[in-house]
Amino acid sequence: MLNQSQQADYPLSSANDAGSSLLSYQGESIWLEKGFTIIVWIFALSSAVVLFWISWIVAHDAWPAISKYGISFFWRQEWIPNEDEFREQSFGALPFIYGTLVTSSLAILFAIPLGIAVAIVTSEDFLPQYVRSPISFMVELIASLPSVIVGLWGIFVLIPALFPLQDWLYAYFSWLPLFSIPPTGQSLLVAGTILAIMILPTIAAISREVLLAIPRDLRSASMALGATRWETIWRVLLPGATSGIVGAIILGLGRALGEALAVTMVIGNSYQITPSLLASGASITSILTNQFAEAGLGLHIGALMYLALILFVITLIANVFAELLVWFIGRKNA
Amino acid sequence: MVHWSQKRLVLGVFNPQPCLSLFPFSALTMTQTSALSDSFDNQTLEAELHQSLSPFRKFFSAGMTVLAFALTGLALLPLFAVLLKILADGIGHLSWDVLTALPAPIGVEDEANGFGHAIVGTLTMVTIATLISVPFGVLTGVFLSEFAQDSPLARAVRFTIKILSSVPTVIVGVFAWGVLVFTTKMFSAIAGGFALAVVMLPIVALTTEESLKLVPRAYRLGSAALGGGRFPTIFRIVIPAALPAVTTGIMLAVARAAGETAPLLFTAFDTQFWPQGLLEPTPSLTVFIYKSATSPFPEQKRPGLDGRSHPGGSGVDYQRCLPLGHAQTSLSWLGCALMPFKIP
Repeated sequence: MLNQSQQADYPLSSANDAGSSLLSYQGESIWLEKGFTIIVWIFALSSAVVLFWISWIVAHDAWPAISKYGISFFWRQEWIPNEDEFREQSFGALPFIYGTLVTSSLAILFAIPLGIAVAIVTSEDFLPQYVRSPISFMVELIASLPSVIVGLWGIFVLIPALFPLQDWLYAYFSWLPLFSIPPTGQSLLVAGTILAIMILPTIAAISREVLLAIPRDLRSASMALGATRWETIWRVLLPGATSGIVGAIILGLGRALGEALAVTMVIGNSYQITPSLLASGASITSILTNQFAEAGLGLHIGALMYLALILFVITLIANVFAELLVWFIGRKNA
Repeated sequence: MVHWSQKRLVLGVFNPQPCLSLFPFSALTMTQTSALSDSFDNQTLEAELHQSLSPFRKFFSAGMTVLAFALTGLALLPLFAVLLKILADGIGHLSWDVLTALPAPIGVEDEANGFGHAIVGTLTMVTIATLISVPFGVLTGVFLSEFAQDSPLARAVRFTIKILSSVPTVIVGVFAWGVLVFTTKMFSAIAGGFALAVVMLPIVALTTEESLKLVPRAYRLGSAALGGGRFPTIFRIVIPAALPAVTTGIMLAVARAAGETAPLLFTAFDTQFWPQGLLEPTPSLTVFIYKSATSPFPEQKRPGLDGRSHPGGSGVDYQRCLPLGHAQTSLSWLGCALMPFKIP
């Protein structure tokens, strides 16, 4: 519609009344321009408002639990959604916060060496370009796997594959609290491994960008002084890229904290805190995935929303920090 | 084999003497070096230059190279393992029935068994999500690239959208539940589509901005010189020029949305029947995979098909999941194959 009316006004070449034609075109186009500008502003601002809308809805629906438990929610340990004659309804976040933190830390621990190794192999010239590009492409392809597929693979392949390792750890290291419970297959350790696989592309891709952004002069200078390639990497490139790699790791951490399905499928979903990595546990995302759709209104939903709010705030802090760090480095390098 | 640093030294590219004292990796300590330069003569220098790397440095270099390649191989392993598993076990079960039939009741044999209802549900909800997120996303991209550019407001909007893209999808699901399911008291395809739209929105907005920025400035100047205002410039010149890239971004977002489970679990829920309408609970591929794979009831293990018991102990509808996994992955890769992975 709008386009047609404009097209009709475009032929300004009718020389006899050029003035009036110009004026009429301007008159219409001003409205068009103004309307369009306003629409773009409205759409853009409402897109940005979604983030605040999310925080408001989650905080609002969490209110029953916030007002009942307050800050003590963080260290309460019972999770009893349905009351019976023996026990009252009661909610606490500690087992889930613990599970989330343990699995995410394991993921970070496993993913850092892998991610940085991939970043180094694909940013250095060990291999010709036509081998390097497919490698980094394939690593980033992992990020495109739907998490439910990774979870499916975790159930069918990873759990059986890691079972001998878990058995071995239990057999020889059960005197350590970390491995003190006989493995059943699903465990915090497996969940951490799955998360490591899922955040690896984030860490690898961003670290690679950061390594490639380091000025070539630094590398040349180090090599001119006689350093071998690996001495250059360890003493010049990695220190120069530290802040960027930290940003990448925190972005990966944000992803690990919020990953739901794959973790739920392999973590085992038991609501007890044990020091052992071989025991099953639960994370904030896994309890949400398991119970939210069927939860009773009121305090149960409120407690789940409170958990969601905690997760939201943690990931928000991690992501804001990482974004600022990456942005700051980008500005410094520019 | 001669190390490259030796080659350079032999070729005399630079005068090595100062570097002996500056060089931190040398086997020589500072005092040794100064002693060396005191009693400097050509023969010791010659010897120093032609001496190969110390065994430790050689070992360190080779060892790190091996380690880096081994870790890279380990990083690629899961991708191939997932692919191999899904292709090997899934492709054999693909058939017309699988794509068009409803899931057979548990325990019944010789009946068509498939997930046609979930395909329809996923397509419905992804379509709804696309219809919502594309206008908002594209216009936000236009705003960031053409209107506000580098103003503080644009930076704030861009930052907010970037943060929105990293909000866990399970939170998006909870949010959509609070907005649409809690208020209307029912799970619906609309709520599922809304949740997916929130997931898609930042991807569409950020890719649109990036692709519009790639359109040369001369195009805009040319349009302005011919009397085109903002509206004609953007919709006749800039967006058509950037259309392939914008479409790729939308495809990527569609692929991402089609692979999401957590937002749908709380909003569209799941059924075992054909979708009944936009305001009814709607099945989807991802939720169907999740429910089938984690079903706690041992009787869901189909007799005669899956004899394995898994250490996890949960009965699993193994044969049903894998072709699904295959279909789901191909769907999401269709979108991903089109783009060069530059999305944050």
